Amino acid sequence: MNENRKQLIHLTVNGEVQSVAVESHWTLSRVLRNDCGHTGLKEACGEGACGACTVLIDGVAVPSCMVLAVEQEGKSIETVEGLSKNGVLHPIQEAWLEEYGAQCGFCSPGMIMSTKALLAKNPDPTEDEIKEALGGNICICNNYEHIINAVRSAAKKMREKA
Amino acid sequence: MAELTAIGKSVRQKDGRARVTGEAKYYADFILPGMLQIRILRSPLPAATILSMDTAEAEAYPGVHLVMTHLNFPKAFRKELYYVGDLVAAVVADDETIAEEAMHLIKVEYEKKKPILNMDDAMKDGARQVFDGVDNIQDWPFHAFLSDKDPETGLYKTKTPSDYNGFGDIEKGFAEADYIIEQNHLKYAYCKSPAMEPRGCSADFDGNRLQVYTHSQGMHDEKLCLAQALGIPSSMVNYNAPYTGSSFGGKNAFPLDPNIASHYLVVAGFACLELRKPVHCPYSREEEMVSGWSRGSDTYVKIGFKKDGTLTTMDMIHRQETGAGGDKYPAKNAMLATGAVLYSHNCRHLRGKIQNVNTNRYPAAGWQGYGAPEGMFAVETTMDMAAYELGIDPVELRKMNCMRAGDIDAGWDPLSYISAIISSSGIRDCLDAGAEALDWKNTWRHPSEKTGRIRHGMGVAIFAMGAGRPGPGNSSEAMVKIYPDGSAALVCAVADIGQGQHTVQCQIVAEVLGLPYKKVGMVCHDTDSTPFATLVSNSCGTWIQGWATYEAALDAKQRLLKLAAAHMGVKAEELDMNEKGIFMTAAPDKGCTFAEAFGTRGHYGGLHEVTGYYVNNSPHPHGIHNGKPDEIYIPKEKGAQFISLDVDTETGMILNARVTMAQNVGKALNPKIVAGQLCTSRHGVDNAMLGNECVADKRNGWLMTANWVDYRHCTAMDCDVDPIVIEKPGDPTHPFGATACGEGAACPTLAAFSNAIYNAIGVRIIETPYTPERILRGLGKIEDKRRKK
Repeated sequence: MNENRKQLIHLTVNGEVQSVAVESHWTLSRVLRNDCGHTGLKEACGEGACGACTVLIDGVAVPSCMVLAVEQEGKSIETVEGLSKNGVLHPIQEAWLEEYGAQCGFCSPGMIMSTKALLAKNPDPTEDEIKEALGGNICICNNYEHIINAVRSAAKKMREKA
Repeated sequence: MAELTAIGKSVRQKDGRARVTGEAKYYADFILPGMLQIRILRSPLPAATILSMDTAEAEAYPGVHLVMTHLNFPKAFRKELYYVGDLVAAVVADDETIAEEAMHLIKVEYEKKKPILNMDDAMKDGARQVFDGVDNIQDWPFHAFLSDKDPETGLYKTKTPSDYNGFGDIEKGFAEADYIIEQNHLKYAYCKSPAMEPRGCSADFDGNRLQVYTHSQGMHDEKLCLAQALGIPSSMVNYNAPYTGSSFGGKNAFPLDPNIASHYLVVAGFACLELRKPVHCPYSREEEMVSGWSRGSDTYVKIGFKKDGTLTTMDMIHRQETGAGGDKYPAKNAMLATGAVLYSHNCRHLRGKIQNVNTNRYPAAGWQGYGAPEGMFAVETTMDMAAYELGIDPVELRKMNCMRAGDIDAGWDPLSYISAIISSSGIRDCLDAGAEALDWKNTWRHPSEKTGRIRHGMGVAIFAMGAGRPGPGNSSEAMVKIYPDGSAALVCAVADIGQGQHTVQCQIVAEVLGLPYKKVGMVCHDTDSTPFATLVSNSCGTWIQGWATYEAALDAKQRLLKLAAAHMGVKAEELDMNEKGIFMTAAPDKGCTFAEAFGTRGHYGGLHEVTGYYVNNSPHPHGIHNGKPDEIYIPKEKGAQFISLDVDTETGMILNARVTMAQNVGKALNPKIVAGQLCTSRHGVDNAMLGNECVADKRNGWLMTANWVDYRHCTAMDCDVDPIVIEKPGDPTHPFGATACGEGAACPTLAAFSNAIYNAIGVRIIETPYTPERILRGLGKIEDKRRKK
């Protein structure tokens, strides 16, 4: 292992500060999965085309395979693992289960994070706004009807809670 | 039957919670301590022989543990290379960066051969053989002619090897036909069999057992195949595949066949056995894109009709690309679209010739529909032509001729049966439902009536798809355990690749045992802990595994009732069970608790579980007509799909595409799962209007679209699907009257699309994908100019 190629960075992942030694070309998705243990984050294409690895960086939905880890020094990152608290699911996750938003589930972590970013800025999105917000997330199972219903239902749950 | 409590309910996905929290462990999530990384060096040439290799520098590179080539691992690598991306060598190193750096230090000297990069070139006289000694075009080896029809059942008695599939006398059939409609060179492009999770595996060897972590469509089949490929006893291997990030047939792994894209298993297996260290062999998206292609066909269809629209005779020559080897079996599924199944109701004369064609493109794999979509595309566009020619509404022409319950499946597959009775259809109901949803009767217009720049079109196509096979090898087993606390567990190996099998099988157990769905757990993690289940293909899970699960649950229930009967001093036949315990059917307030029946006292004494077990050697006895083993029922997926779209006649763009997908599922065991399955019609939409096709660079054979930016898939923004679930009861082949649902949705789409485009602009496009270029050329707005050599 070439330790001398590595640089120490500090990330706040789901509220916890983590220090990781990373190589300059490592992507954030690689570091979150392999070095921070957040395997809930999925990588499907590694080229920003599918959105499976979407995380929130300071609240903004970003495909984590498209950013370098070294550039994230001090950033706050949210992955799907940070949504449920003490075993209680987030309303988006609840909605996903009720509406059957996951088939194989490989796109779900990314879809859910894109949904979280959408609902944070637009609590009552129209169908077109949902489609646009999820336009960067591919579901190869083509489960979009259920996914859109899940987003609608999540939005309703979160509005009622607010 | 009593009111259903679990079946027919959209209960939550059994492993849904793990999927939405990120706790679900797909193969790449098993990060083992000290795990080495494997990277594969792939062929830059579409056809070549390796003359020499020098791996010394790579082997000496710090951090490299092993360099694998055909010289030291002849079972994993070949000297002959057949496509760009074929395996040349592999490097096992401390991390992926080192492996990749070392990979580039391997020196290879190749002898180039002239590549064959499309089917037309492969079929030319004197074309170089892709595989030495094997003709590029191969006839389907199981062609058979059926004769001696039993007048009572309609079943055939004799199956004779032939050079085509069929029955009757097509010369006579066409001579007697009033109308003959014919199309040639119907071309369905070679397309990638997709999966969200790229293929790959990890492996760990402790000197005793080889643990493999991967995705799977059939853990036990794949495990046995891998053990044989590695030359070790099957008992040494434990195949772990708790979650699969989708697979639509393409990720079926058969490591014994060097042309099937499951090399990661063999490479990782040998590396792990050699080094005795955990290894990880993941494919990148680019590697995934050269692994497992599908579709790819060139078809001729000729259909004879009577004046009134009765379809009497059918002829088909279907050539299917298999690329550089791979799965050859999809080709035979084109027969499903013919008078053998879909149009079996009136067709009396049939000839269907099936051929495979090898090229130096990427190896073939299965994909949703497994050859049926290509057949449906060819036949259903021809049926549409016929409807216009005969002046019969396209919906009505299909209703007149489509298969019905009781029609005869004329042996479209090389099975143990000669022909079989189609157990249910409902295609006509699906046609009615779809037509009603689109107000077809009032809104359908002939293309000649369409004017203006943007023209609206509606098209329809029907389909039939296999739904599990009877016969040897198509068996599945299940164990159902009931515990003293009133919970139960289903132990079986049926793969959940996103289609919802784990959920549905647990619903079956809950229904049989009268327990809440929540109290039924699922054990389906690896091969060590589960009995055999056949791989999920041909949408067989509900049928083959479904019976095993149902019978195992019944067996467990009967065993528990016997225990309770002994405890209560009554007869087991007088008892039933539910969530609260065991009770007298005649006096529900009398009974005992689960713990009392088991005789458990804390952790002492009594029984701690009762286990029911069943092996379903399909067909299940219920799938046999009149108790006669040679008269079997065969279920099918079946339905109708409508496409509504606009064509911009200036740009050639398809706009506002909307799919209405109607399928008769007999009984929707879980309506939301079924609706989700129907929405997979978008796979056809990808192929129709997102430009999906295999573009290999003519100069060097490189795939020009080895990523998801250039090779597009539908997002939420591209198209809408309206699923219509039809539940026509009465299919005898399933305990709850369900028939399969899964692969059908992809079958009719390309035909329905082509038919909708014709309806919009009066131009029939018989080559996929339906690009703006093809549409404008059809409209005569651009010329077919070819660059001169």
